[in-house]
Amino acid sequence: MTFIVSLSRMAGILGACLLAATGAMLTYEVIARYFFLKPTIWAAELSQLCLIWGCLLAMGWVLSLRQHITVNAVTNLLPPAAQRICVLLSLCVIIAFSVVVTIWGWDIFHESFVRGRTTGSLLNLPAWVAELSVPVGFALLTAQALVELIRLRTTHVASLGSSHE
Amino acid sequence: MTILAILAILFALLLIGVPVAFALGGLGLGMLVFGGFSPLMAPQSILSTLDGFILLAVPLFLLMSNVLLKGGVGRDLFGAVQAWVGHWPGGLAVATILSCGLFAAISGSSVATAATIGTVAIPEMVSRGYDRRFVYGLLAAGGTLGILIPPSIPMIVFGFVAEESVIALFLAGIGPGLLLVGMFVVYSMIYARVSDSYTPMPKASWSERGEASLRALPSLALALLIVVGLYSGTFTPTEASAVGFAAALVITGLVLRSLTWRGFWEAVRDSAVTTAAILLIIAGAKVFGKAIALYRIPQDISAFIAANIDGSLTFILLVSAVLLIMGLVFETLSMILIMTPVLLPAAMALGFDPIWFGIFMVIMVECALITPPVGLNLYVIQAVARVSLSQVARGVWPFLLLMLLCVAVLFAWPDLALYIPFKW
Amino acid sequence: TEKMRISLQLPLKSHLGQNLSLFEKEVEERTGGAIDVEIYDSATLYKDKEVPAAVGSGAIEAGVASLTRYVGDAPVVDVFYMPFLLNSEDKVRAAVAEGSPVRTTIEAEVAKTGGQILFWQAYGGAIMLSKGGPIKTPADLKGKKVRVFGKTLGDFVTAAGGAPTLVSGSEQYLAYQRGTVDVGMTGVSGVKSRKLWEVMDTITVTNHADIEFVVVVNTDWWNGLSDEIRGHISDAARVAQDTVRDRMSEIEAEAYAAAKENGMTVVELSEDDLAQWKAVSQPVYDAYLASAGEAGKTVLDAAQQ
Ligand code: NA
Ligand code: NA
Repeated sequence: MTFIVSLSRMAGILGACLLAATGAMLTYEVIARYFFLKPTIWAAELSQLCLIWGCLLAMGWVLSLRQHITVNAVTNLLPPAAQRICVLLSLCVIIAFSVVVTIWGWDIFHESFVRGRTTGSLLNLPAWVAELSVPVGFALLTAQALVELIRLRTTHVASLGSSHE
Repeated sequence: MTILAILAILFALLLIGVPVAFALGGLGLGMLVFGGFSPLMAPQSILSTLDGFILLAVPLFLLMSNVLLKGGVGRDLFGAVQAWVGHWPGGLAVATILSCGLFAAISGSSVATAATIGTVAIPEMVSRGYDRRFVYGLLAAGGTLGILIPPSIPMIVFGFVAEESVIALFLAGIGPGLLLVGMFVVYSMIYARVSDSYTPMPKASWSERGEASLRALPSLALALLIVVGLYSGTFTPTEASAVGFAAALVITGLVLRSLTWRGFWEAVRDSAVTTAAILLIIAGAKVFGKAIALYRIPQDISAFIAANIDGSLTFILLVSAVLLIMGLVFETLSMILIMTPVLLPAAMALGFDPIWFGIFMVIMVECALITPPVGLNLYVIQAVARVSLSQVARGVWPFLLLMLLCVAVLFAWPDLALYIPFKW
Repeated sequence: TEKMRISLQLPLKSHLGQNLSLFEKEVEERTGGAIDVEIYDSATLYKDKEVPAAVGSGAIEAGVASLTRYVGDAPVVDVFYMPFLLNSEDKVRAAVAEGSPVRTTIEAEVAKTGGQILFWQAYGGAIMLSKGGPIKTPADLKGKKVRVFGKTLGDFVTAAGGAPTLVSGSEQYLAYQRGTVDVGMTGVSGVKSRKLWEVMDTITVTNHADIEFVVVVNTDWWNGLSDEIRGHISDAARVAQDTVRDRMSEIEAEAYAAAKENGMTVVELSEDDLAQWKAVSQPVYDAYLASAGEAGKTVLDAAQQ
């Protein structure tokens, strides 16, 4: 369990770094385009790749931080026992969704990998490089959600998320 | 009937506290499986959502404003504006609104705007004897300017789901944004004339003004760079966000030297968390959107509206009422994501410009930000001022009315939004 | 009844949408309602670029995609984007004729994705848009930022000395208005539908690429239908395919007329201009042959005749 929690955290930190790296790449792109009139072919695509991987890697971590956006208006009014049931149900929804997405997401990755499909964009990377992020990210999320489910037996959790923008 | 059942399940899932992304995605997936469609649509939708270039602007605008936040730019902005207008009648209130407007030009989020300016303005105004209710309402409402004056994350999201130009939306937000700033300023000055509970500020000396302005200058230059860059077509929104992030690092790290390594990491971490949360909701909404499209729900609602509602005024009144009620409990992005696919086709059939409709939606979700029980800006001000929610909520209604007045002006005079992007 | 859901990026009122409605009517009449065609227009289900994967995987029975969306699976398709190769209606018609080597090879390559081409929808040639003068020769493109949509067109712009920039359809208008790019690139019908004459004043009729859309069906779904039904659908497809290709030259002529009416100058290339363009385009052909291999060579040889 602690292994999964620290794995989520490390994936999250890696994701955060990938997202910040997009800033450097795109700034470089603007400079290259306006000052040297030589747009890069890689900046837009690699930063897109960082966005995909960054977000999906961070999902489990965000869950452990209770930072997924949630409507708490009703659950805040409930007694602790009812809150616990709500959290339990919510975790079941998350796990069901994540498991399905992991499995079918793996199919998408696997097919592209076997076929050797490429993106056909300026950089023409293999399509699976982006597609692999879905099964990986949602498997991490599933694992983290299972940890939360097990922990629910011993600790009280009022809500899985917070309201933020 | 199906529509009502689906809405009932969605609301039930949301209200028992399933995170919005998974409520939308899970229900959408369930509908796909139940309707005999392939579950493959779920991962495909998630991938295609995250593959949208425009959405790269979300983490980058967040990084920009978080870096500025950690670098204490809010204090500098407020200080500078205060030095110029603080001695006016209601001067601190005017300074607060103007600072919100300026910060809005370098932040895409209303929560960040309310938190940044609120942290410095609330203690100052309360210590000068301004009525607390007025102060809290002012800050909660002023913060909403963050998503109307470009850049704006909800506009990026609207542009993404509606496949409309984000630059056009950004530029269209300027007019109504300035109008709202003007209305808030005028209201504050009138309020100050009527209530005399506060102690006016002394007029700042020219050297004080110069010093304060100098410190705020880099941030103002950044705001100008972004707006002018977008207007002139030098940057795409995504590029503007990247350049803005880089410039924010230069300003706070090298020029003002107010950003610590720790602050930088916190900015990166907070931005990542928010980005993942936001983009996952968009992906979930995409799955849901496909499911309702396969059940032909948007088409049915459009047809129903076309058959039963004649006249654009009736339509806008009805939609405003729906959005106001929905806004009591929903937050910004869920509202935009759930309602845009349903309402936009009907609106366009009635002859509304999609960009105009986007701005209308943004002002309506701004109202949602300050209506209890769920209003993010209320929560922010509550946290910053350490007071109860009801105290904050009681102060917002005059501002809510002003925002609805702004919607009315926008309806009567669409060019308020459309002039800058299309006719200038 | 069996449902045939078709995903379409464009709105139903676009000419591809109208053509799909014609196909719907033909299929439903011919099969006596045994096949129920449902069109999901305006990208409510899938965007153009998601269609190959969606149809190939069987997530939906059919979809309309720009042919170039298959370039990742089958690089051979970009023969239609080889600069100035298929720059007249006759050449295009020869290339897409049923049984032609170009069409046969491409359909065989696309079929490897799990989806197969049912019929082709003509979209017309790609042209260039500019402000304050035409783009007659590569010299006019030198140092300019040019809107492109796809890798091969990007390679072409680079070869001609310009800087390719990817701009989506919805950002096109403002990108031209604000000068994010200096030179536009689109099919001429896009000029009319997006009122691009408000922001650009010159069309250069380069026809440097030919834009084709294809209606693809999932192979497993297709093979699961009876021979009789398949025959009816194929007949309906042929009617729709011929109609849109015959109609395309009218649509283009209307678009040019509308552009002129709204103050645009329409400039044609001379033989000499064309020779200059062709001279700089060789690297694009080389890159194509390198990525499309044996099939690419077959197709290119056939198209050049
Ligand atoms: Na803003
Ligand atoms: Na609210």
